[in-house]
Amino acid sequence: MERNRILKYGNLLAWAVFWLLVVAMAVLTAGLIVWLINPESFSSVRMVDPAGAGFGTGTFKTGSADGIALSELTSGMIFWIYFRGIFFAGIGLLIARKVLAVLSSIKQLKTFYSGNIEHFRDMARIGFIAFLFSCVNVGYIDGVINVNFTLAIWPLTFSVACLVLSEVFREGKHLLEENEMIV
Amino acid sequence: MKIVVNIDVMLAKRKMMLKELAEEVGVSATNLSLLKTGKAKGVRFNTLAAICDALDCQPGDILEFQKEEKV
Repeated sequence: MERNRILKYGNLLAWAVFWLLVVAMAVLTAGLIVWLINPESFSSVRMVDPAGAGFGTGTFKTGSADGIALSELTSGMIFWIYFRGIFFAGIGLLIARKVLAVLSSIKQLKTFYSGNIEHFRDMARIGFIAFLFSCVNVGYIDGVINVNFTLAIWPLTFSVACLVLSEVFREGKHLLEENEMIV
Repeated sequence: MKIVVNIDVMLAKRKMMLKELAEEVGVSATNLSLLKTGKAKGVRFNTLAAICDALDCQPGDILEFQKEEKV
């Protein structure tokens, strides 16, 4: 097979995303530990819409008057934000690993093998879980329980795209098997 | 509807081994065996031509159409 630039850059990008997410998880965990030791250490960090629904945790800001200071949030809310952050980073990590596995199999000229069909199905499942989790978020801010809903389009689109790709790869495998049966 | 492959009959007539035919045709003995046993889903025209050339016969000598009886 010819050296494929797109595959090469795709592989590099997937590795970059993988390690970026590992670093993000480590930073989140380190931040939580620091906060547990000294809750006032992040008093200058503010969070925009901490109870907002959607993929991700929300935006952290420093040196801005927007949002709510982390020191004003309850412990439960801080743990919830941490949990959501770790959950979404974990989802991203799993997807990056699956993408790397698919790219590796294509590199080994095993594009239409059953493993790739399963990888895409797994990515569709993970994407759907991310969609469900992104649709709703709850928060306890200023003594009020906030429940927010949104239709998280991107995780759903990703999930459907992966499901379609798994069917495309299944069809490809079927065609390859048929082709191999022609002498 | 069934296509029967009579390579074994032609091989016997020409007193030839499957391996020899495979070498002459340029396909693997495994693939030729698949064709012989009727497990292959199809045969390419150039493979068929090479088989006919090696066995000195016509496609009709190798392939036979059999109508399946309805039960």
